[in-house]
Amino acid sequence: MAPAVEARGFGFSYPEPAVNVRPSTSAAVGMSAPPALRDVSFTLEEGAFCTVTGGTGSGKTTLLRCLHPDLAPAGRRVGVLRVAAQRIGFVFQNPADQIVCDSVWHELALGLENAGMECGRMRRRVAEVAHYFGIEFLMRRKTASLSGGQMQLVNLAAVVALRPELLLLDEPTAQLDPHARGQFVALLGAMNQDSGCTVLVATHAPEIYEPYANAQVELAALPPLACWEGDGRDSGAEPAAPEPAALAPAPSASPGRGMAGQAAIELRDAYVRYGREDDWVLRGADLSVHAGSVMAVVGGNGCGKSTLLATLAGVLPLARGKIRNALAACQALMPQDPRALFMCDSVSEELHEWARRCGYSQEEELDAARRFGLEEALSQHPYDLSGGQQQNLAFAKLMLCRPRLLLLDEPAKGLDAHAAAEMARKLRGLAAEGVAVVFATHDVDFARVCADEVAMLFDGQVACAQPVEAFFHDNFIYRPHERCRLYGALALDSAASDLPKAEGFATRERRGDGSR
Amino acid sequence: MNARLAVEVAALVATPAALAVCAVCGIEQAALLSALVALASLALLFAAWERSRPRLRDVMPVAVLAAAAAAGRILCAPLPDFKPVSALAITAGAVFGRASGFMVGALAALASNFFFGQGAWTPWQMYAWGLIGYLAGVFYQLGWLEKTPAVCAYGFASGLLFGLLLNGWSIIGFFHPQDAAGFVAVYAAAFPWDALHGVSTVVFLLALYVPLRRKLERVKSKYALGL
Amino acid sequence: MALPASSRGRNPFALYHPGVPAAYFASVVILAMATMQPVFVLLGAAGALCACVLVRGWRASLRLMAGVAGLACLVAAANLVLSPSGSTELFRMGARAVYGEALLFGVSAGGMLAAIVTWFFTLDACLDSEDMLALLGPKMPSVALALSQTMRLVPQFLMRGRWVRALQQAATAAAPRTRREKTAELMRTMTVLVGWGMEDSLVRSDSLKARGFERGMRPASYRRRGWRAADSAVLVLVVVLDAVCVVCLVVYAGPFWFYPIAGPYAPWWAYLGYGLLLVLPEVLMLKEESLWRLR
Repeated sequence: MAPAVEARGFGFSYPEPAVNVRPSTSAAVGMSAPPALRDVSFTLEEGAFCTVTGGTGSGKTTLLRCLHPDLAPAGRRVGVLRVAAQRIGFVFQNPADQIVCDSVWHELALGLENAGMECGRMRRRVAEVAHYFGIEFLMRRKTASLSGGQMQLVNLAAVVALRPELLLLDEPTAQLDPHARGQFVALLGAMNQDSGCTVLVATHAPEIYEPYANAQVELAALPPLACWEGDGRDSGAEPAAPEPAALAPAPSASPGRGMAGQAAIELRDAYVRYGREDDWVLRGADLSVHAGSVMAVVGGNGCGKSTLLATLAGVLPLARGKIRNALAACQALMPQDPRALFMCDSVSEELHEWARRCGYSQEEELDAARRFGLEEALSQHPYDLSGGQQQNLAFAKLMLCRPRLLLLDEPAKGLDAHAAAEMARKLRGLAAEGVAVVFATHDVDFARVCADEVAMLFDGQVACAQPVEAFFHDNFIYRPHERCRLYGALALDSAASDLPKAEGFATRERRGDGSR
Repeated sequence: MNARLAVEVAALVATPAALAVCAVCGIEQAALLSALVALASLALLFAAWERSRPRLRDVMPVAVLAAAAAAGRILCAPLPDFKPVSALAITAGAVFGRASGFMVGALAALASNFFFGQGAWTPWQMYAWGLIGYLAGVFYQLGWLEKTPAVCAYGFASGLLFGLLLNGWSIIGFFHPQDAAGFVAVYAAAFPWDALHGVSTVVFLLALYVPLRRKLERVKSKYALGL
Repeated sequence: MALPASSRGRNPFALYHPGVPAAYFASVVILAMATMQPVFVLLGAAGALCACVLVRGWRASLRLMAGVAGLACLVAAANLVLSPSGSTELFRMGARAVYGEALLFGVSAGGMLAAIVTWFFTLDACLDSEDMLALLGPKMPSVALALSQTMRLVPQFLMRGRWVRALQQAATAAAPRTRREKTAELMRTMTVLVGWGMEDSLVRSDSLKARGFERGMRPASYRRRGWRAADSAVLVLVVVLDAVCVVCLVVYAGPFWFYPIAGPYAPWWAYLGYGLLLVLPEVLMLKEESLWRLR
């Protein structure tokens, strides 16, 4: 039987002088482009579930696109790439960007309408797929009102309704929270087993597909799964601080953190909602943030983490409660989607945009570009950069304002292990310089690596705020993983790097001793 | 190509012509007849666009610009007569052509009225803003919209054109002026609002035309490459 | 603001295919605009008001009435002043005589306007964008796709617009301070929204291409609800009543004119067809209510 997908020595290069057509792909642009893919060979049988692994820029997206005839980029191909399937489906990374229609039922039916299917058959396919993915209750909803996980399920269902023989997914769970991710992967695996459709998933975290995957194509090495070594603060089973004090919210529970005692930001009894008719998002939330420390805000999807950050930034008004922000004059908020900050048509213009108001010089802009790895990309359009580069650009732009308070919404979203490790290092470095850092995250491992204090948001209130080790020690279920690639990336990088990069951690270790 | 142009022009001209005829002949059902003609011409123009089998590179920019115009109109709702729809329709017509300019204006009116509430003026707003976008496309092809002053002049004129059409219908339909003096009197009363609309369009164009054109041309070339 | 379907109150046409309310509202609006005969106009306005109260409730209707009454008075006054003909002189304004016929004309015009505005207010709660797409879809798929996308994008743009401005304000060192900077920032936001929207429309078009959009025609349409006998029954009723109304209008309202003397008025049974058409929503609602009351 012919294999479903076969590649023999396949290589691909983007055309040289052209603008990079697809923003999410790699390859240096404008200069002589090195091949995006080099000598890829693999064979997949029908019904296989294969993960394509590699970090950012390893060519996963390029490979997947080359497999789909309608999406294949223009460029030079080398070698053989054969696909036996006639019908191929594709699911992209960002859930909201793929949805076309106003309502869910229309989204599911759209592909079938394109195929000119008879109405009765269409209805049957839509019913089958909606039932299988458990989205029947969403059928009459507007797509704009769905959560990220629900949107991605709708996308998958819309593609599966066409009964593809080969299903390609480009990092489908990168933008989802852990709960939605688990649901999506389980349904994908079940679908692969039930329908016998060949599945090819690009990912930088293949361990989440482990229960279902039976093949792997490795385009680039990923950091290994490793255990958390700790950094001198982990004193075994007993938390350093005494329990009762650790349960009290805020300042007294964190001795020796940054400027001891006085909190830079105090939020007391905050009640916040978006509109007069809406539900309360925050109901009496209290939070204290200290300069020179990193605070992580964790919680479920939709619990109000972004709202809390916006409140701290002073963007949302408080219906009740008080906020005292000593650092209000120099703060910055980094959004989940870095594109919300992009106003200009090139990276250099973007970095220059706030020069007049903040008063930084041309040299500082170039220095920032260098520090964030953007010196090669100064003339590129921000939307042509890769996801990680876009995040760096947003970060660089905000850093040029020299904020003393930095609020970040999901800084590690969609980043692979190396990039997440880099982000963690940057945040620690900032805290070492005395900046107060607060970030909201789903990623518990990232919180453990990066934060000094963790606050959990639930039911509109901060259920608890404790030093990081005490927090995770206290929890029964909500704990970081034993082994994860982020720890491995950190171990790799700190082993290989020189002191300045690891400075954040060195400082942290010192602080763990109690000396400062 | 010529046949299509002829159909478009005929449909566009029919509406004000019907309005004028109703006014001159003093027909009692002026409001009804002119509204029906407006609806018919809209239907004809939509059908012409549909018949031209628009590709994704035509449909997607129209949807995005129409949505931006509708969102802008909703956001500017507290400020009377301060609407970005004309400015965006003009930019769409200049960058993507007259058919797209028409569709952006018409769809922006329709979509924003789903939020504001449909009114008897909906077909007229769709027609007027569509016409503004269409003419922008035509003038751009003729090379008249290269310089900013020309664009601003057209922007101001578009505000007056919009007022002429909408107030014209209201006046002819409901006031039945017996002579031209009556018409002019009522229209003059509404003139300040139209002038304000024109001025706001100029303000939006001054701020948006050049940067938007850059962004739109970039995406246009990306679509061309991608297909 | 348009309300979502579930909280829209009572839609007497909820059980029927969108074609039925489309046909009904088209008929009543056209008939309302078709004549200036005062009795027909009065009936039309009354019918519109009843339907509005039925569908939108008392409070919303009263609010609308307040606005519409002002508009109608304006129209009436303007007509009063602008129409120099008539026979029954009411009073004099300087050299110009103001006639009763002109007043009647003005009131009719105002009433017609009121009726139309009210019908549209009611229509808005019975037909939403989904229904319009259902009516457009089979015949004009590209237009339907464009409209569907526009409706999907508007809430996204509103939210993004708010968020982009909030981010600019949050970065306090770089935030706009003067009035001029704030206006410039507003304009920038619009540019950002359009640019962002266009860029992710590229991903959306990829998503469509991957589902085979560029390959061929789109002859099919997913009809969420088909056209059945019940819909035909109501449509036939509407068409028959329309025909009766048109005949009555042509025969009885045609010869009516205001000047120099208002007349001739029609016999009472000429208004019957129109009256029946106007109470159709109430009848349909009653039909459904009786299901629940009689239990």
